[in-house]
Amino acid sequence: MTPPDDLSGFSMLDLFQAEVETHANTLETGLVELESAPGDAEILEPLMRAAHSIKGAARIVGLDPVVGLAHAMEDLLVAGQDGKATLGADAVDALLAGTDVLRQVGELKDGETDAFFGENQPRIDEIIADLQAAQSGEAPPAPSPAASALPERDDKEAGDVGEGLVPSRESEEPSASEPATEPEPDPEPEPARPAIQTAASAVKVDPEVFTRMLSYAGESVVQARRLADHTDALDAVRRTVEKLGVNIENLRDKMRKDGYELPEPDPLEVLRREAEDAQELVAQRVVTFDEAARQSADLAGRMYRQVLKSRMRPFREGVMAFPRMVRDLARDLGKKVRLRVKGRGVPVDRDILERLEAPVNHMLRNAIDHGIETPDERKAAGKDPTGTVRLEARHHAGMLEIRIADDGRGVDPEGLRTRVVERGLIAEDIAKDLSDAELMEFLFLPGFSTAKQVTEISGRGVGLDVVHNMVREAGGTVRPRRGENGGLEFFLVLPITRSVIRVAVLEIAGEPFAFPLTHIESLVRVEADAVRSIENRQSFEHDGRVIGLVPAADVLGLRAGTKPSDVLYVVIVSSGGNEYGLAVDRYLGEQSLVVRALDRRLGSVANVSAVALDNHGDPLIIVDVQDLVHSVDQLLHEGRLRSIRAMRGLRAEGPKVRKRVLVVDDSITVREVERKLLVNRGYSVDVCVDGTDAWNAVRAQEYDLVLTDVDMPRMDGIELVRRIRDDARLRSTPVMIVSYKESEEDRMRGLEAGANAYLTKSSFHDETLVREVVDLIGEPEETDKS
Amino acid sequence: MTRSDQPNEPSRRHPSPREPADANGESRPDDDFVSRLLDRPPPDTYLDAWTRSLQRRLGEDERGDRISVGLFRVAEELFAMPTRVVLEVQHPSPVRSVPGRSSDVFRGLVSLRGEIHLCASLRALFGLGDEDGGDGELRRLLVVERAGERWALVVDEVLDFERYRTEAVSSAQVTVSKSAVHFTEGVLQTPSGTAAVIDPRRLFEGLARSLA
Repeated sequence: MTPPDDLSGFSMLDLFQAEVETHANTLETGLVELESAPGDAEILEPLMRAAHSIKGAARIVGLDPVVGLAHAMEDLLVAGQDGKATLGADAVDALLAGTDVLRQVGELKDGETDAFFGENQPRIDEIIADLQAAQSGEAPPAPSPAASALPERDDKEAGDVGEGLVPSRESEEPSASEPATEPEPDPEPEPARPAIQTAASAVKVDPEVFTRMLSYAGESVVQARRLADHTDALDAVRRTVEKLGVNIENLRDKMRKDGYELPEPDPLEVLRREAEDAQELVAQRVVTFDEAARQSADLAGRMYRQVLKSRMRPFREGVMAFPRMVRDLARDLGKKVRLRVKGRGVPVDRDILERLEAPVNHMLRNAIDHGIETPDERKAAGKDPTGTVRLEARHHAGMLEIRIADDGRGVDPEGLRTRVVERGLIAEDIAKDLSDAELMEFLFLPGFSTAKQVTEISGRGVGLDVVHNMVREAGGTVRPRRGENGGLEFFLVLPITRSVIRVAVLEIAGEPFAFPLTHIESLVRVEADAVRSIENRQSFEHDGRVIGLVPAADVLGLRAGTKPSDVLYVVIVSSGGNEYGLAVDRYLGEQSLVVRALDRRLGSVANVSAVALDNHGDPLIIVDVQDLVHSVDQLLHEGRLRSIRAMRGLRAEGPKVRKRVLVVDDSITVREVERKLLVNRGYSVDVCVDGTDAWNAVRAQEYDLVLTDVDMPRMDGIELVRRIRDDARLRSTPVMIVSYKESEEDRMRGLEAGANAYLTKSSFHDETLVREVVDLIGEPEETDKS
Repeated sequence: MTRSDQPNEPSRRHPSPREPADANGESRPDDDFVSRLLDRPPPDTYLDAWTRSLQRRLGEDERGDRISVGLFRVAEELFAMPTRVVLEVQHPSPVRSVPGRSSDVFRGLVSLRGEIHLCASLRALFGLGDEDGGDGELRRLLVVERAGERWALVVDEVLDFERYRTEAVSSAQVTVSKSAVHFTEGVLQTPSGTAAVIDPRRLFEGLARSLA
């Protein structure tokens, strides 16, 4: 039947569905836990109540099939509580199947209910039969009476409707239904079953309403701040009135002294008193108004922070579905796996939480599918037959860290090494020298991991490049590494929120623009005299580097009135190793912004990442710095302009001689990538494995450029650069550092040692490295050198 | 009751006059249903008392079907915007350019009560000159919404919201600039002069094109 509809705009079905969703979460989480602790009254209690509540609610909206199902579930749970039934894996399966149906009911749209129950009644009956069978302690009837009454249905079909249905193979494998042993206590000190208690505490909010709330809260902060101006104005009135009183008094004194006869009552005295009263009155107002303004600002500030905070959700909300997924997948594969989740209460921005789900899901599946061995294999290896997958979240240094670790077979480095060579990614002799960590990085190479053979050898890696991309899109990084117990471990680092950022506000073409601080290198004032002009391109020197100067207004396509000025304000931005100085009008200050999406009607706008409101409540465009650098590149290319870097070291060569580059890096991967990039460009390349090796090479052979890493055994890159700079003959050889280290200190260290350029290894991903080399030493074949 | 007692000069944060959904089925923008949810219906006697107190015989020119429009000025031309699409009238507020997108028509983004709106110049859209001319003191933002899309439109003056007899609208060729003709569906004789009646559908299409 159709539930009674439309009560003040809310249908009863809506309310029922919201309730079902909450209870279904409780059921699912609790049932999975129940499996490892059958009969635990503390777990059973909330489950029973959830089933009972759904039954009651379903009765109110008249969904009789749901009443029947919830009733059977409740009965079984009560029986379990009373010790009349053992709730083993089969009982849990039936309960989970029931939960799946409830969940589906919870997602039905108005008017779909009749069709749904018409179609699914046989399945519901079957589940009820299973529930009853589990209660009476019978083995699950196979085939169940309901199923035999409906011969056209098979297990596969059932699996399509609700993925939690019993895989048939399990009845043949009774050991899988044994409770998993718990050899180690959960180190988590939080309450035993937080997920159950808090599942109901979240409130659904229409995203549009939320956005509007955020807007109003932000605006109320701006408005409250404006009140302070009125306090000041009122205070000015008070001082004026005070001065008036004093002037009147002075006047009266002077008149008295000068012998003026003043009538009684003294009119000036009356005036003076009136002024005094007025002053008193205003002074009181100033105090009360100031108090009110401060309270209003405080309140607005609190409200704003709370609204912002409401974006934060506990980690557990993003991982709610995982215990069930792990359980189902493990049963499907005939494995025994326990999932340990740590840091359930860690607050995470809901946006990040959403983006986390898919990659974490993927890595968990990977761990169970390829990492964890079968119980027999594990026993043979002397391990606990039940594998453990850990999912841990914590805040560290302003970032969210997530660890996904399994105690499975891990990655076989030798197998991986062989595969890397077989696939022609690197030469065999080089592969020998690869460290485990370097080998692991290959797992993320697109295409590499999708090959079937790799999965057989390494047991790992299906679609990890996808994970890598998803995490990167969320602004994070992911690293694989070998776990302590031989398993594989993935380490994710993500921003805690992307909704509040710190920016520098810069005026460009008369309008303010926000540049995220994390994306700008520095802000500098450049005297007009310090700007050099080569081939109509401006540049200036900063920290020993020559930086190309580009008007920000041109890049952003803004109509700028050029104002001649003695001083330029320049924001130095870089991306992928490219660095530019953008000339702006003015530096307006730093502030924190709440990021908002651009109006969807605008689509994606080049060089713009988002919008926010500034301190005055006006819109402020947030610049996408990486995109901006890219735009500069393009403008330079289109304009056929080449970034001129007046670096030293261009030496005269004979015509048609290939320039020689020495690549120094202890990582074979890096070495090979660099070598290939440069050879493809036409340079002649030699390689060295560390500083000592390179030091010998540069003395034996003349190079046009040395490209070196920093961290290397025997002699590091910094030392190498120093030695080259100290040597009278080698001193002018250009040296470029390419390092993983991206911090300003590292960069400074490299440049102070005498390097001509400092690039990060991210520069491999585009043409940056090659372009930098060309800029520094010119084209590979210098045909006409005078 | 007529709307002639409405104040002429719209104040800042002046709410739009509310009208029921019109015959075209374009529903009224309605974002504060919550506050109405809390309202109690007034007792009948109260309504009766006020009706008696305010009632009067309709004048000859007040009978028949009416349309409700907001009169506004762009450059020297008078226009009439159907009230059903008007959300509010606001004082101008700084407009921020969107790099690569802002044009003469699409000016950029403007914040009204913390909500960010797309802002367009009707002068430019109607081909009536640059935004810089005209009397800045009376300039307003006319916030309109149709099918969930909102725009803040820069106009030079908002005069009045008024109901007119439908007979007052004629399909006579509009005398305004050529570009504006695309966005109008007739002319309306008003005490303030002849106004071109905006066709919201075509107006919103024109605005959407300015983003391309």
